[in-house]
Amino acid sequence: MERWVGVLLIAVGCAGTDPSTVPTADTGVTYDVPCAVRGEPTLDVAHAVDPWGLDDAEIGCGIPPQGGAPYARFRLRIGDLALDDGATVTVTVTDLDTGEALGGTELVMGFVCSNVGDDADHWVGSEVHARFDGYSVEELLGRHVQVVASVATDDDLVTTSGTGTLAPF
Amino acid sequence: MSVLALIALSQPAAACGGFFCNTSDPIDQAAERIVFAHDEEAGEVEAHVQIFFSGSAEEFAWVVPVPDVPELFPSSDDVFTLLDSVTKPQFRLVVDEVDECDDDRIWYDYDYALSSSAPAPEAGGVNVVAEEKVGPYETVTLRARSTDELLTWLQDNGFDLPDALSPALDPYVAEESYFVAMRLANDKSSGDIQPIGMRYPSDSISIPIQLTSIAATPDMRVEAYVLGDYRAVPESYLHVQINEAAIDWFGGAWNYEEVITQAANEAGGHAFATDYAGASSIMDGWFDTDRYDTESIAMATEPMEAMELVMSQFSGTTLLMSILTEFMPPPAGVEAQDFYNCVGCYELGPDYVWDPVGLADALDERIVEPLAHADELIGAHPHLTRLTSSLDAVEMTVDPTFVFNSDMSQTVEHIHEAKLLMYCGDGGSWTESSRELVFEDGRSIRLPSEAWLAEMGMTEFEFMERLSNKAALVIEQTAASGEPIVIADYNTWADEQAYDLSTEADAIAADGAEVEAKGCGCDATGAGGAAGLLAVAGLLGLRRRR
Repeated sequence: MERWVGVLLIAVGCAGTDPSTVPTADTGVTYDVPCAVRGEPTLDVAHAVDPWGLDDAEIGCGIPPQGGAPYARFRLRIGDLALDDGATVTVTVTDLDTGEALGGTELVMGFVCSNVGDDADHWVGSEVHARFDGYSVEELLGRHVQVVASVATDDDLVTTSGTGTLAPF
Repeated sequence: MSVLALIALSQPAAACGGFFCNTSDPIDQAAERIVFAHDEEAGEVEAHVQIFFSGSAEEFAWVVPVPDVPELFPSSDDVFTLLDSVTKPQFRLVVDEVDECDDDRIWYDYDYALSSSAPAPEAGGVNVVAEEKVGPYETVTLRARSTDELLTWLQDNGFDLPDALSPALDPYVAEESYFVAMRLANDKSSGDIQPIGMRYPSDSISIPIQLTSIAATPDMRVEAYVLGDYRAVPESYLHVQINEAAIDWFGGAWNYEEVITQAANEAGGHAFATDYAGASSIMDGWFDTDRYDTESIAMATEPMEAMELVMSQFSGTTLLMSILTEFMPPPAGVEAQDFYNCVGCYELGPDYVWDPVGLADALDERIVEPLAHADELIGAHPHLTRLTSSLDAVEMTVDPTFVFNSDMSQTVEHIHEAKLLMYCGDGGSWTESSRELVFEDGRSIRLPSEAWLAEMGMTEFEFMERLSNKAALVIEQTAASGEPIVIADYNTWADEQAYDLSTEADAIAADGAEVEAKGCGCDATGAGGAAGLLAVAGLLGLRRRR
C-alpha cells in the first residue's frame, strides 16, 4: 500500500495540469490552449480605450506630448493567428471625401495572448499611433476618414477597416 | 518560536579607500532616467533628464524634442541617486523557525544588486528661439519644420550629431516643433556633465523614446519617476505585475532587472512595471540641504581647510571633482584624484592660485540649488510613482505616455517580504530541515533542505526555475480612469507550479530519495514528464519494499 501511495503522490503532482487552461469569465467557454489557430484570422481595431470596432467613431487627434506631427491612438485585437513572434502592423488613415492619404504608421510589434476577460483567446497589444505628417491639427479636425489596419506575419495577413471622424482629444 | 530577520543588504561598498573613487564615467549607457512633475493647475510639466556620456567634451551634443519653449536649469545626479536608493525594490527574506533548529546553517550573502545607471536621449527651416548658458552647457532652443534643416543647422553650428539621427528625429519634426540642443561650454570637460531640468507648458507626460533608439543598448532600462496628485500609470504601454516567485530571493534579488526585461517582453515589448507608488513624503529629509554650508567654504583661508569642509558636506562625484579642478586645481604633474584625496600631502606654496569664493558659488549653483529645488518640487506633489521597463532599440517605436489615475489603488510597496519557514523538528539540524517559502500573496512553495540542494549542486533558485517561465504574473491595460483591464492572468499557472514543486520537495523529504528535482520530468506545461515521473516513482516504490 505504501509503495502505491508513494507512486500516486508523485504522479498526481506532475501529471500535468495544462497551465493555460482557463475558462473565460463571461462566456464560460474553456480553451485548451488560448490563442490557438482554430479558423480564419480575425482583426479588430479600436480607437484609444473605446470599444472594439470603428463604426463612424469619433477619433481623437492631436499633438503628441513631445511635439511633432499630429497623431491618433489605436489598439488592435487579433484572433486565430500565430503571433508568438509578433507581427508587422500597418495602419493607414484616408480622407473618405477627398481620397487623401492623411497618415498612418507601420511597425513591428509584439502581442499578448489574453487568457481572461472579454479579450480572452485573442492577441492584444499596446497602442499603435498613426501620425499625420505634413498636416496641422486644424487641417485634420472634422475630416471623415477610413482607417485600414492590417497585421502581417511571414505566413498570414489579416486586414480590417472602419470609419470615423477626426475630433479633438 | 524565534523569528530571525535577514534583511537584504544595501549597495555593495566601494573599496577604493579615498574620497574620490572611480570618477570616470562608466562606458555602458544602460538605462534612461527621467523625473516628471505635472502641475495640473499651471498646465506645466517639469522634466529632469539624467545624462550619461563617455567621450571628449567636443563630442558631446544632445538634442531633445519639447512641446513648447522650455525654461532650462541645471539638475543634479544626486536627485536621481536619492530617488533610486529610497524607492528601489527590495526583497527581504524573513526566516521563521517553526521548530527550534540546531544552528548549522549556511549563511547567505544577501547583497542586493543595484539597478544600473542612465544614458542620454540623444537624438538630435530652423528658428533660434533662445540661446543661454545653463550650468555647464551652451543651449539652443530651436523651432524646426524639417528634419534635414534641423540636423544641418545643428551640425553647422558645432553640435556633433550624426546623419543617422535623421529617422529618429522624424516623428518629432512638424509644422511647429521645438527642440533643445546642448553642448558643453568651451571651458568645460565631459566631467561637468550633469542632468538638465526643463519646464514647459503641457498637460501630458511622455518619454521621447524613439529618439533614444539610435543610442540604445540591448534591453535598455527605462525608469520614470512621476510626481503628481495621483498614481501615474502607462497609457500607451501596458502594465505588468511581476511574478515575485521568479526573483532569486536567496541570491539577494540579483535578477530583478532580468525579470523586468522578461516581463516587458512577455507583454509584447511595450510595458512598464510599478516599482513604487505612494506618498512623495517617502523622500522627506533625504535631500538634507541644510547640511550644506558653502559660506564656510568661501571663507576658507587654506586649500586643505576648504577641502575638509567640502569632504564633510559633499559626495565624491565626477561633478564635484570637475568643480574642484576649476577652482582649486591640482599642482602640475599631480593627478586630480590623488590631490583631492590628500590635499595636505602636497606643498602648495604661496604662489598656488585658487578661488574659494568661486568654488563655493559653483557648488551652490550646480549641486546645492538643484537639490533644494528638487526637494521643493517633490514636496509640492503629494504622490510619487516609480515605473520601470526595458526596451531594445527595435522596440522603441512608440513613445510611452503616462497619465494619472485616481480610481486605482494608489499604493505599490517597494519593499517585498517573503517568509522562509524552517521545519527543524525541535533541535533538528537547520541544514537538513525541510522549508517553506511563503510569499506576501499567500502562495507558498515547500523546498528541499539546504543539505539536499548542496548535494545536488543546486540552489533554491534553480530548484524553482520553472516559476521563472513567467515573469509577468498579470498583464493589464491602464488608463486615466477606472480599474485596470486585465488582459492576461497567470496566477492559476503559478499556483500549479508551486503545487508541483511542493510535491517534489515533499517526496524528497519523505524518502530522502535522490530524485532529480529539476526533471522528474515536470515542466511548465506539464507535458512530456509523466512517463519519466512514473519511472522515478517506481524506483521509490522499489526502495520502500526493501
